[in-house]
Amino acid sequence: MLNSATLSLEQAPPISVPFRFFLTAPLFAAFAGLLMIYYGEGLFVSRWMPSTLAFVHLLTIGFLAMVMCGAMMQMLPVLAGVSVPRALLYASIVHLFLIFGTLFLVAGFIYSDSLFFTLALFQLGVGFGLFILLIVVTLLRVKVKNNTVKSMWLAIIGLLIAIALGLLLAQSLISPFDGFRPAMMTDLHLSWGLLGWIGLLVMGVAFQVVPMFQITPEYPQSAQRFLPLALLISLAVWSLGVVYEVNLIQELSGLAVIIGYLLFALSTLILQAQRKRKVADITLLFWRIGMLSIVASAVLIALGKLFPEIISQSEFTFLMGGFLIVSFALSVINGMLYKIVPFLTWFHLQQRNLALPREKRVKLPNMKTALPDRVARRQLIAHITMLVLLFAAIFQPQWFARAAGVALFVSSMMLWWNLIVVTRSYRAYSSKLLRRAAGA
Amino acid sequence: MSAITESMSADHKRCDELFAAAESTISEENWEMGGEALSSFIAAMQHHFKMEEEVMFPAFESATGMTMGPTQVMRSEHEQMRELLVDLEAAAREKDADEALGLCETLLMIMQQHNVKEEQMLYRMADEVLPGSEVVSEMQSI
Repeated sequence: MLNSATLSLEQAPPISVPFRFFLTAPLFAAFAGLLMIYYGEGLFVSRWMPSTLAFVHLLTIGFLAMVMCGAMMQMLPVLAGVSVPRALLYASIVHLFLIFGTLFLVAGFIYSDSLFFTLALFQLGVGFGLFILLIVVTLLRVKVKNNTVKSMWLAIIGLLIAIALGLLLAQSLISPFDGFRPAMMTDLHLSWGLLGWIGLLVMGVAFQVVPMFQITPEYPQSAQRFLPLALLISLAVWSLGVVYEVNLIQELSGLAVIIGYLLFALSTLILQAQRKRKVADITLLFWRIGMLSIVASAVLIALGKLFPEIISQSEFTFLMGGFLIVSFALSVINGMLYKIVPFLTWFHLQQRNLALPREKRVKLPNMKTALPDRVARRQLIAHITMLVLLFAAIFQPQWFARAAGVALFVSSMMLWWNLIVVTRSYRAYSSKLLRRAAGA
Repeated sequence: MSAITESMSADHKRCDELFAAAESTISEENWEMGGEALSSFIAAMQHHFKMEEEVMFPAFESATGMTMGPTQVMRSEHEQMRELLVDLEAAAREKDADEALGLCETLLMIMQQHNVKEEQMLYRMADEVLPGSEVVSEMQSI
C-alpha cells in the first residue's frame, strides 16, 4: 500500500532554489572562455597542463554540476513526488560552497598552491557532500519507484564516486602519498564524473522528457529498466579492471559502456525522428548535437582500436573530452535550460495569478514571449560556432584556440543574458502581482 | 489492479496526439483546418478533466479522506490549463500564430509534468484504493 501521507504532489521549491544555480552556471562557462583566450594554444598542449585542468573544471563543476544540482532539486518533487527538505536553506549553502570551491580549485591549478587546494577540498567536499546527503535522504522517502527515480539513485552513486576520487586527487596534490597512482585515479575520476554521474542523469531525464516534449514513442521498457544499471555495473567492473590492471576485463567492460551509451544516443535520435510534434524546437537541436557527439565519441574509440597509434596522441584525448564534456554535456544542458527556465517562470507566476480574483488578474507572458525562439536560436548559432572552432583548435591550436575562447565566452554570455531577461520579466510580473494582490 | 492507470494514461496519449496535430496546423498557419484540430484537442482535454473531477477525484477523496491532498493540486493545475486553453482559442481566432505557438509550448510543458504526476503517482494510488472497474466504466460513460 502506498503511504499517502508522505506523498506530496506539492509544487516545486521556491523559484529561487533552482534559479540561483541556473543563473550562475553560464558565468563559469564564460570564465572558461576567458581562460582559453588568455592561455590560447597553451591549453591544448596536454591534458595534464594545470591551465587545462582549470579550464575543464570550470566547465564540469562550474557549469555542468551547477545546473544539475539546481535541476535535481527542482525535478525531484515532479518526477518522484517528494520535495527536498528545507530546500531554500540547503540550496543557498550548496550553491555558495560550489561557487567558492570551484574558484579555489581553479586558483589551485593555476598557481599550483596547496592553500587553494585545501580550501577547494573543504568547500567542494562540504558542498557536494551536503548535496548528496540531501538527495539521498529525499530519495529514501520516495514511495513510488519509477525508472527516473532509479536513474537518479544510480547517478547520485556516480556523483559520490566521482567526488570522492576528485577529493583524493586534490589531497594528493596537497601532500602526495605513497602508492598513489594519479594518472589512473584521474581516468577513474573523469569516467565516473562523465559516464557515471552526468551521463546517467541525462539518460534518466531523457527517458522522461524526450517522449513528453516531442511526443515521440517511449524508449523500450527493457532499456529504461536495465540500461542505466547495466552501465553503472559495467563502469564499476571496468574500474576494477583498471585498478588491478586486468586488460581483458577492462576491454570487455569498457566495450559494454560504449555500446550502452551508443544504444542510448541512437535510440534517442531514432525516437526524435519519429516525433509527432512538428514545430521547430531549439532544445531539440541542442539535444541532437549532444546525441551525435556520443555517436562521434564511440566512432573515435573504434578508430582507436583499429589504429592503436592514434590513442597516444594528445588530439585523441582532446577530441574525446571535446565530444563528451562540451558537445554532449554542455549542449544538452544548455538546451534543457531553455525549457526549464521559461516554464518555471510562467508556472510560478500563473499560480499566483490564479489565486487572485478574476478581475485583478494580469495577462502573463507565455514561454515564448518570455524567451522568443529567435533569441534562443542566435545563441544556438553562437554555440555551434564555438564547437566548430573548438574542434578546429584541437588540430590547429595556434590558429583557433583564442577564437574558440572568444566564441565560448560569447555563447555563454548570450545564454546568461537570455536567462537574465527571463528572470527580469519574472521579477517585473511578480511585483505587478503583488501590487494587484494588495489591492491596486 | 491498474485499470485506472491504463485507461487514463491512454487518454493522456490521445490528448498528446491531438495536441501535436493542432499545433502543427497552427504552425503552418492553416487556420481553417486549425480550427477543427484545435476544437477536437480542446474537447478531448475538457472531457479528460471532467472524468477526473467529476468521477475519479471524488471517489478517491472519499476512499482516502484526503480532500486537500494530491487531488487539490491536480485540480489547480487543471485550472492553469483551462486558462491556457481559453487564451489559445482566442489567439487562434485572431490568427496570431506567434502567440498561439507560445501558448502551445507552455501548455505542453504543464500538461506533461502534470501527466507524470498522475501516471506515476495519483493513478497508481487510485488503483490501490479503488479496485475494480466501476470507476473506469463510470468515467467512460461521461
